[in-house]
Amino acid sequence: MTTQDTSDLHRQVELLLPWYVNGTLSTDENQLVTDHLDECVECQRALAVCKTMQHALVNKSPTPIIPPANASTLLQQIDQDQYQKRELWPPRRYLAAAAVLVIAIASLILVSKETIDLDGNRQFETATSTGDQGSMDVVIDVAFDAETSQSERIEWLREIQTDTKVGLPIDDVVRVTVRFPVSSFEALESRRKQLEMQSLVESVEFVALQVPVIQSQ
Amino acid sequence: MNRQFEVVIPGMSQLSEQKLKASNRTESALLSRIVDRDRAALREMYALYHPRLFKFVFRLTNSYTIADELVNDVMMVVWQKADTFRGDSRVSTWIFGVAYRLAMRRLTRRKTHIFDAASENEMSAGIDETIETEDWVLQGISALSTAHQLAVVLVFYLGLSYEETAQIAGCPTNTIKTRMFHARKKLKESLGPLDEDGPAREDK
Repeated sequence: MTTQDTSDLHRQVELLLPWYVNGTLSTDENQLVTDHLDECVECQRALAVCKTMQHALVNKSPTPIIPPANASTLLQQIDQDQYQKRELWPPRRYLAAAAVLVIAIASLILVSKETIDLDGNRQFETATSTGDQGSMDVVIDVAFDAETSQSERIEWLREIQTDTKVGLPIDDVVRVTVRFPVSSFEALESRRKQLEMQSLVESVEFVALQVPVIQSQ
Repeated sequence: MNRQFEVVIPGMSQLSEQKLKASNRTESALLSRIVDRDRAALREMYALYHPRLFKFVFRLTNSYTIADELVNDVMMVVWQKADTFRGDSRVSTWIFGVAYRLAMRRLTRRKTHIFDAASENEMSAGIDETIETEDWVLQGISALSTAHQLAVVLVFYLGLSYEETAQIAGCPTNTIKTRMFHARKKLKESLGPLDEDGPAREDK
């Protein structure tokens, strides 16, 4: 073996020593290091340092009392992130609701049925509604949490006093009409957020707004 | 040829190759469910990794609060980035890689040195108390750069091979070998000769 070869071997072994100590070298590498250590005092000293380092870290490091795994905080953070993302939506909802209102008011001729096309793909009917002053009839899509029971969903819909007939079993997403006792979009949006904050639902989305239609003479 | 590696903690019985493969299959299946936003799968993965991750980051930070936060941060990344896992390493290597990078960022930002608490304990030991060699070694390790300290913990505390260490640290294997060499060299320089009586120090 030439001097260069010896030097290269020495350097190679020097670099492998930590893994010789932690026992993760391959069989060949292990043998290479073992053979070299038999003849190299410098590497023997370096090996001693590595062993001391490992011993210090494994034996002298404080052993933590590991708390029980509790993913609740993590899941709450995930929910919060999703809620904050939804918070960015309100400005668009205002625009959509305002657009619907403008279209509805613009057509002042009495018709028994009107269709309002929000996105070009969905057509639905809004019945004429005399609606009380200070209230808005709104069609909403309610997305229930998948874990809610049927009885919880029925109870929730009763509480918001929808008069829509809903088929059983109630799907995860259901469309109903609700009369909200509000007279402004801000109040309507506030009410929507309140409903969405309830633990049984994942989201409450506006679909259409019904407004009193003025009968033309 | 790509080799698949598993992260083990020193002191644990070595798992057979078969068990390691089975373990990785289970974790890969959990990760696929997490991509589909399965919260139950995230809970399972959390329970599976919490002890190992907590021990690892606690070793780096010596703080229950920070360790708890970092474990949550790691699992949040797993939730958000599960779809980026390419399967070219074991799931455990990927997750510990995330832990490594978050710990690195946290430690660098806070200018926190690993073993800070241990160092403080040693400094308050008092001049009349015997300080063992290993205590000096821990103190010396605490004076290393963050990258060196992390490499030392991955190799000596977690017992990772050089391929695993390199994958987790995100660098070539030669780089990690050289990094460990320089860490040992700096440690030796700061501690002086480590003989049977411990590092050279003034007699009291």
